[in-house]
Amino acid sequence: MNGKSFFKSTSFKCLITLLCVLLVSGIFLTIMNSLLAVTDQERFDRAINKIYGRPVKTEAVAVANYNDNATIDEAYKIKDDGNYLIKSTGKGGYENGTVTCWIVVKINNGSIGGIEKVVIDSNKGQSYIDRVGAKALNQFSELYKPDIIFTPDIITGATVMSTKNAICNAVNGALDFVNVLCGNVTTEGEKLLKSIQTLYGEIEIQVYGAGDTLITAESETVTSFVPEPVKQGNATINSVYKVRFTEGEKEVLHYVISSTGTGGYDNGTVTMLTALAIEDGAIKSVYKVAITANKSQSYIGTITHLDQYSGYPYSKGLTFVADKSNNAFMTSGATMSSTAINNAINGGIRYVELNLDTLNTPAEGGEENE
Amino acid sequence: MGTFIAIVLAAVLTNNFITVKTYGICPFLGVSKKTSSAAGMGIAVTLVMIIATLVTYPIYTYVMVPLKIEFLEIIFFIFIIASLVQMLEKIIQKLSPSLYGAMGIYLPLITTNCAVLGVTELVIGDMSSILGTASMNIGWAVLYALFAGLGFTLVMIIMSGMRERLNYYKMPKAIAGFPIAMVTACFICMAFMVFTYISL
Amino acid sequence: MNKFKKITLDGLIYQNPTFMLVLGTCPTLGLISSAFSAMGMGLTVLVVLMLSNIIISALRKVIPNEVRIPCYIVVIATLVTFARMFLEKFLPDLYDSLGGFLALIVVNCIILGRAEAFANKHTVPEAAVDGFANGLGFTVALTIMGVICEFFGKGSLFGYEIMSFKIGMLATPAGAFLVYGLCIAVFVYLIDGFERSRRVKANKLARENMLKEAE
Repeated sequence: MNGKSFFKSTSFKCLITLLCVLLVSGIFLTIMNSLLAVTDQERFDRAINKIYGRPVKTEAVAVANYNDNATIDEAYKIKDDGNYLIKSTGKGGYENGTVTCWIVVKINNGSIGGIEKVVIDSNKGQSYIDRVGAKALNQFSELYKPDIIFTPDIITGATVMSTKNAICNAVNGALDFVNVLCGNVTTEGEKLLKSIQTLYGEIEIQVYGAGDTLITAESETVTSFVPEPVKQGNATINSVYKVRFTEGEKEVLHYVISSTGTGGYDNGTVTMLTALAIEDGAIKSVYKVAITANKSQSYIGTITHLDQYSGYPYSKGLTFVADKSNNAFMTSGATMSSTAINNAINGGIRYVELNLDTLNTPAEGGEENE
Repeated sequence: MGTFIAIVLAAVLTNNFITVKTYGICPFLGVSKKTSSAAGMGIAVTLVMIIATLVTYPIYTYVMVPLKIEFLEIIFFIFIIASLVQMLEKIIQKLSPSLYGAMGIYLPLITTNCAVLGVTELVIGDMSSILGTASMNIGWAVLYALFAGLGFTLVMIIMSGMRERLNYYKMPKAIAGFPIAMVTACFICMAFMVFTYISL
Repeated sequence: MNKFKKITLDGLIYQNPTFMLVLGTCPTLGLISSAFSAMGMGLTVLVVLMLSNIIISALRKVIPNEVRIPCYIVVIATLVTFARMFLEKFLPDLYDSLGGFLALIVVNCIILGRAEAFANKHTVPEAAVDGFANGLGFTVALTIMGVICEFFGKGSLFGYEIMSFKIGMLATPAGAFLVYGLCIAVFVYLIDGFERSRRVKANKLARENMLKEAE
């Protein structure tokens, strides 16, 4: 076959046709691709809109972690309404797996106003995740209240507890993160200082935790001299901190005990903060007490006798007993709550009394029994 | 090793091409009347799937992605598969006429088989659910193609065995043929559902 | 006009690609667990099929016989790629729900089958009508099965929850096989009955005519 006849042959015609078809297709698709290409931004917006249910504009927020049980993967501020959209991975799922959720956190007047939506994005090793329905996820919105920490038992729905745990962790992590973003987060240190300061009013105090470490408002975690709550008589000792301040020229040392007394109304409890003045390594007096929390004590608001404890001198075995005849260490009308208060204070005094040596030993003495 | 087992289990059992992904149904229903032809078809498909993945995966990763012409993937892949099938047919015809006699008739049908295009598209997509933390490479891609093909062959042979039995029964015209084949396939699928309980 | 009526009826009923010819089974079985994706797939195939029929019919005198199949494949692959881009841009929900089956439209036997069996032998309008009729036949069949599978398998229709009763198996490939098989059986049975009654009627008419003539 010579050159000329090749150009007239069928194979040549076939080749040309095929090439033409390919060329036209390629050009057509290239044009279409440049016209119809979906940008990364568009792809991202779509993912967001799917979660949000309506088109919104977002602005990325730098992520950080404030909760050991969750990892914040992505965070966005919704420009339209100021809400936050957080992608958070909760740990502690079934067989140490994780669940990644998108959480829409509502913002009202600069602080968290609720949870608008929780959507499950993906999971690792959670075989029963399909059983977590919309109903279970809606509970996060329904149950939300400020400072709530979601635990798997308050979220109903038939699935593995650990899977729910991972979801709760993810939501809690997102809430913690948004709290910090809102700027009104209270670190553990700040919370503690605030509550202890209520006993001291205007006095400038310094609070020390385990190992005599100074606790400041910036402290992320606080450890008290009591590693974990212990029972003491009719009370549970939650924590003990040292408080130092100067009174005139004198260095003053106080022990502040948080204890929960039982025997309140309807088997409820009252949690008290008791400050004991220490002098020369021994208890000198009760400085002041305050109520920090209670369980089902409806009449706690009527309690008026708390200043009776202030400055009460200590003697070995000091126990406060309510005396109905002269209304000592009790408020009539709230007798049951008064009992719980006395129990809490007595428990606190007893604990310090028994552990005075350990508490007095300086940091090197090794009271850090963690 | 873990990735290897994960790929084998996923390709053959948990994500079987026929019973779970419903790829390659045309030959599954069309060429499963006899066990010998079902096995022949299965092996031919497996062979083409391996070779197609071996060619398309590197072309996609090392040529199309750097050149940013991923959008032409369908045209490239189907063209590569069609040419491969043609070439394979010619080669087998030359080298082993007996093998060609056994397998040759199935080869032209394979071009329009979803399973082949399906596997080449799958391995360039998101396989993280199977691979876990390992990243995709040509080795895993070909391995996946091989075992997906074997899974396909397995179901083809099971199906043909059942259909050979069905030949003994007389059925109303409306049910004979495809309807009864599909109901049979339904039972195979249900049996394969058991494997979804495998988790790694 | 009668010609178009015949083409339409063939595509829709007598040679319905899904129920009578059992073509394009992979996307059918893979997507009928949801009515939305089933109908979406049907409509996408309808558009691709119509366009490919038109293009191939228009080019039927240009393309040499020897390379017609590769040319058809290129045309179809181009249309599918275009459909994929279009859906990703404008109908992302549908794009997501079709998944891998979108690219697999290329190897859908219906499209190549119509190109080879019809479009390369007929004029453009006929090919267009044929593509539309076959596509519609495919769409209707998929939608019917999608509705059945989703209603009983998920208790919902087109994504809207209707009842809490559901047979989860029907939303899996196993259920898809079962529903598809039973639908074919019912369809074939109905067509057969219809054909028979038509034949009986025609025979009766012919006999009466013969009798009349005999008189």
